[in-house]
Amino acid sequence: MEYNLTNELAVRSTKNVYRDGDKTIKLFVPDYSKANILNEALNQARVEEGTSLNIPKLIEVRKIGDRWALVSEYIEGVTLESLMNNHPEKMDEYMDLFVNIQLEILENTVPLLSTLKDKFRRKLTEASNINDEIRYELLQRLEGQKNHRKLCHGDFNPSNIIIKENGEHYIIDWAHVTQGNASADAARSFLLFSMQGKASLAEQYLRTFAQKSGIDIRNIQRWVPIVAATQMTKGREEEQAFLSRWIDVIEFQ
Amino acid sequence: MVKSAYSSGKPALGVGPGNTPAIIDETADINLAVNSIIHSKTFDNGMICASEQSVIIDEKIYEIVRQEFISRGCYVLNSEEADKLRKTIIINGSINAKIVGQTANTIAKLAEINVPENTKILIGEVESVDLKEEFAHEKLSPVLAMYKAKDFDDAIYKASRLINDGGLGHTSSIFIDTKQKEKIEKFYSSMHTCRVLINTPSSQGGIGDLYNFRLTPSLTLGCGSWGGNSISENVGVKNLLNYKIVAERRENMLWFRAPEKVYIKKGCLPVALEELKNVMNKKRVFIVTDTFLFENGYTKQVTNKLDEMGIAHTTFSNVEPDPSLATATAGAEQMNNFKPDCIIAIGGGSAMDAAKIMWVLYEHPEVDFLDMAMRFMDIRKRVYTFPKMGEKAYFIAVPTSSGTGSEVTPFAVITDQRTGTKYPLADYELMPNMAIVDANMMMNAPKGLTAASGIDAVSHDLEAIASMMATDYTDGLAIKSLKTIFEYLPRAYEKGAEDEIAREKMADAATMAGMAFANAFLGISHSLAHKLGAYHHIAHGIANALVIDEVLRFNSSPAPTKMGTFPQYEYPNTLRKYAEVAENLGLGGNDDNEKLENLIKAIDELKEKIGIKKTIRDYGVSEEDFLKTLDQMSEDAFDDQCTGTNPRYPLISELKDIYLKAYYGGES
Repeated sequence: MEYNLTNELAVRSTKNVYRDGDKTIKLFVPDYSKANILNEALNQARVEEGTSLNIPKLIEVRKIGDRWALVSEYIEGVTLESLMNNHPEKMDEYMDLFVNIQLEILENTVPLLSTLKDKFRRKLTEASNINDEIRYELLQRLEGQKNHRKLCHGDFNPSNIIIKENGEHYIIDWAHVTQGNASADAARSFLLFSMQGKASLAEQYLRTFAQKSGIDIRNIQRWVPIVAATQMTKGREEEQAFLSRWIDVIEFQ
Repeated sequence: MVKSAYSSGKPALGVGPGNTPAIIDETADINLAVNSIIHSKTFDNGMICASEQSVIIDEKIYEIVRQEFISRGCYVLNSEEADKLRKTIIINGSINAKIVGQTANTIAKLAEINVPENTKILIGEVESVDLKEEFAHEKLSPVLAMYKAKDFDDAIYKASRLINDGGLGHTSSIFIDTKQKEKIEKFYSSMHTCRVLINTPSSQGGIGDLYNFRLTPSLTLGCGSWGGNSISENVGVKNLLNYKIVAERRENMLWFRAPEKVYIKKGCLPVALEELKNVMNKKRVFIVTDTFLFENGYTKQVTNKLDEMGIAHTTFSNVEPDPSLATATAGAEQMNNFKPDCIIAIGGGSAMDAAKIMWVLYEHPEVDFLDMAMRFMDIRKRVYTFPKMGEKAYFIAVPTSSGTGSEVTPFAVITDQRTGTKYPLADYELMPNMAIVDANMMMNAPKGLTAASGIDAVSHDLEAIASMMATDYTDGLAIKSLKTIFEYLPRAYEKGAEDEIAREKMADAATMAGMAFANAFLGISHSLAHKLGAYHHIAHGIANALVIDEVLRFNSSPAPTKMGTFPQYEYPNTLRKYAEVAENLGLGGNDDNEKLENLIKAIDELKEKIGIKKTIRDYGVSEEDFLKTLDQMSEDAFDDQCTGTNPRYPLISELKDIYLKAYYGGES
């Protein structure tokens, strides 16, 4: 069938996102890696089939003209991010919900996904904008982390949670999903808040997550420089100064 | 790096981070304390992991210490400067790499604080010991947290928290007058650190040798299991060496121990007792016996003599068969009131065992029963040191049956009446000081008792001979004892008091058997018999008689499933030992196997002569009850203290098989 691509929801450097009735169409730019696109589709399918989490169902992967497209369910609702922005007085309640959803995801295992440590190791090794000394420190720190197999969303932030009118929540955007350490996923969320300049929200998130998960804050903090370094490999100019300060730390023994 | 080394799959010697707190006690030499800390913190600009991260000062001397730091060139930050420094030194819980090992001045510049160029240490006056406080972290730089403690306990609390925050197992430090022994002990007991330094700059002190002679010189400091490390010492070449130990097979020392006095011959009792007055000058005697013996006047022979000598005495006559802890406790209580300087046990195994326990409880009310009952592989190498006995009372045992041997053994069995658990105690401290073996005390023993105790002595001899700890000394006693028993037990059984010679021979044979197994110990016949008694109330001697044939066959195997473990036991040769017994008994046989079978036949004939039935079933144990308890009995028998010296190490299934054969008779 032909999709109606007139209702554009978002524009990113790599893709345009459209809504057509009850479907979302992610249309990637022409030269975008098809391996990445197929991998994203495969990841999403694995989570969809391997868990009972509320996520949009993947409908098809196809070419539209010379561009690849992922078509999935459209979830009608508002993002948790906009709820947080519009009702700051309810922030504690939203933060609780946010962390609860993350813990709900982390309870799952999806064995065929790639592992977080493998992915991070690759990113650190490939990172061209990190000096060798820091790279060595961070790789050592990464190797010292335990091998866990929890389902990690990888980009868990309030804009990826959609609350339907009936209160049900859906988790979207599974492009970065891996299996790995809860602390690493939490460190990523902490970093995402921090990079938006929301330092106090980041702190609140960290405390809430540590308290609800029973994980020592230090274990999460130990991942922060690693996660920051993998973020740097994305090469976003405006983030480099901020991130490079976060990764230049040492763990002395 | 340490964690990745540990997970690399190769053995790693890892060490951990420190967060050394230094307490300055009110009794400290302040000059020495402050300058030691400065000396330590400025060494390599605070790079040594043992260096002080915080100083905790008793509030009584806080101001003086603070002034001393300032006058020696340290800079105490105001609160605005402290905030700036917090943001500089720690990023998301980790140390900022840019400050590590830098001078105070360089770090101050990074934090946009102006300090004199030659500032030695930047000091933050802080209160929280929680990790939210950046100053509470390890800082690897000349930056120091300074806390004010309300008192010594508060200082210890703060130091412990700081160590938990990030320096578990590493180093703690205190400045104090060394005369304050109590405080110092409290300090080192409270600190979960593998190095505790006193009046020492902790960098130079922790890395060893310079300021003390106890720590190995090293820059690699282990934090033990507190810090998740495999070592707790200062790592040196020693940790990288392979130590080769050449160990030659050696035989363990054995011994032969018996009461210092064993008096024998029919009618010796009153003569032996004279020593109580003439030699030992005893004043108060406590007699332990059972109701039957008491009511039938057995104790009279002792008390009359004591009265004659003018020695005060009292009698505890409530010992029941399988004596309970409650009985022993009651007896010990009476002893505490009476305060005897001599205890005389009159009776069979129960009275003598109960008296031994009362003796322990009387002399050492502080001991824990479970400690004494702790099992061991070798009585000479046991973990628990039995309390010294005999300081309050001299212990005399007078047997009234020929079998148990308890008058010359270091053993006593007591039952906890609440749980039914039997505690076999074994230690040479439990050995009586004197045994009086007077056949007059045994003349009127009933037939059943003569049979059961006589066959018990046979099992003592056979097990002592087969035991891996047997020696020529114990073998001599056991073989002579067996010869006597085979000859005289049927007579003693048949004729009782009429045959005084048989009675006396049996009395001596039983005591000799006791000496043999007091030193060579027993084997699985007793393991099996103990549980048969516990589960099915079969008399101890009879229970041994029922299993002994099969045990002999079992132990004789030249290729056992598992052989017993003891250096003296070189290869499975128990068949030969049984054959020697047969030879000594003159039983004939062309080879060792025949001799064994002849021995078993002789034992069977002996049992028959003294009216012992053939199988467990014959003693009225129903098949259903037997099979229901069989697995548990087999497991418990395996676990019995007697199993350890058996020459063949049994499988539980093999014990079960012996039980089955003993139940149904022969090859089941």
